[in-house]
Amino acid sequence: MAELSDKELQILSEEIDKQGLTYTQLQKELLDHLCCDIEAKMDEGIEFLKAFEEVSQKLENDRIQQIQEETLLLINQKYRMMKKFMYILGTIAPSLMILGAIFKFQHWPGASILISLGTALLAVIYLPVFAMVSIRDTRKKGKKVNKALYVTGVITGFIFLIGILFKIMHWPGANVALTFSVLLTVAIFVPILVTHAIRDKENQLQNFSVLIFILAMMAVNIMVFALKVSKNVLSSMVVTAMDNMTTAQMIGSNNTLWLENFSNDEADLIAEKTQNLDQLLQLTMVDILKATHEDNHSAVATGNSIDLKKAGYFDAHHGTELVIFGDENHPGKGEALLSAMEEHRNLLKSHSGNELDKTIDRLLYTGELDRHDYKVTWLEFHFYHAPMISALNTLSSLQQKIHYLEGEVLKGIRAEKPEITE
Amino acid sequence: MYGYEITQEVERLTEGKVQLSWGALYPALHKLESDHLITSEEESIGKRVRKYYRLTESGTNAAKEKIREFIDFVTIMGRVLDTGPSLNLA
Repeated sequence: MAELSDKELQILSEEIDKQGLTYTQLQKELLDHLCCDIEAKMDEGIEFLKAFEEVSQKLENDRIQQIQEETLLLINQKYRMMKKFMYILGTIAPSLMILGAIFKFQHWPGASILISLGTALLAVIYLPVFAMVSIRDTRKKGKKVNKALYVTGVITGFIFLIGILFKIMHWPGANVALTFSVLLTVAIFVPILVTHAIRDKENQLQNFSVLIFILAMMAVNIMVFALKVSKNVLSSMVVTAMDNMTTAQMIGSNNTLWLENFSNDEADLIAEKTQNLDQLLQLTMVDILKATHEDNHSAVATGNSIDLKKAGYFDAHHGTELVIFGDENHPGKGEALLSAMEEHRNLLKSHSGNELDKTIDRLLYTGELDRHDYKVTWLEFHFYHAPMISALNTLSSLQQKIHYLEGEVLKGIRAEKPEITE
Repeated sequence: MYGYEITQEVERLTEGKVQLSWGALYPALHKLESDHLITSEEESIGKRVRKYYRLTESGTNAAKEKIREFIDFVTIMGRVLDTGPSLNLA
């Protein structure tokens, strides 16, 4: 069995080089193949140079370049389609998000759908595809793939995007997801990225840009996370709530004083029912305070009076939601409050003249309300995701209204039956 | 088997009637490899590097499937062409 000498190998190798193959895999295989061919011919007695010439001839005829192209095409088909898909998706997903943001800004309907769709596409499909294409690219360049980088990158990015999505849609768990992704980024992803950047000198600029981008995203992340109600808004709302309560009490005592000079069964009924509803509202506020945080117990004195100066956690909303809507273990008290208000409204209307009806309906309205692009129930509007102080405002303001209405209705009753005194 | 060996084997089995050219064989081998139907191992022989190919498990299954399809095809064609006297082959 003939074997080519080193020199003969060299000659053949140079001939192949002339063909200008770039795909080294193919080149090595071609070299070996042609060696075997020549060796076979030499076994039949043809000497090297002649065998070499025959083989070279075939080489020309074989359109080596074309074959290389065809090979590369076949191998890369799936990869190139994936890459194209990635580019398209990479344009669509953020566009949807931006469109959705514009819609939200303009209060047009469908904003939430656009934003959630865009974010979901980005997190669930684009991110993994981008990772796969990057890995393939790195392999093609013949460099080692940093698996840790890709795994942590995809996972962190995914959790981050999911966190943003949940935050925008006001779904539970948003803060958990965002916090977790920040921790992951800081503790694991950034170190891996930095070590990768240091080693990978070629792409230093690119890696540095990615790092800057990641840090910027984290800053945004932290801001979004801290996007609770602004302190100024909170403190002004506390003042309003306290004023509401004081005013309610004042009007209430006025009415009581007034009733001392004049009373009948009807008036007493109105006063009693008003007091009951006032109590219910007060108890609801106490419950919400306590449910929001243990420390708020100190803000509630005997007789269920409330001193907001001793309370805190005004921006928390879980306490409100627990009391109004309930959970698996406790029924919500919202519905009961709603029926009490409706009952009171009907009571007042039946004991007053028609002129007062509109005011009563307006002040004690319990129907649906508009929230941006859709309608919500009265309870949802006032208490869903409402900071504690906002719920307290709603309830204390209601106390004010019922005492005001009490006064008006009593005046009406007095006017109708002026002969009844003391 | 390595590339050259494959062309030799095919030539032998078909008694020289089928001669796989380099241009036909290698693109096919690389496509099969990227589809994970075959895997390869490189071995250095002096200054040359030889790539040995072998079927993977999914490759073996795919091969069996293709052979089955081909046999079905040939059988069907055989039935068509074997029809009796109604064929007027003057």
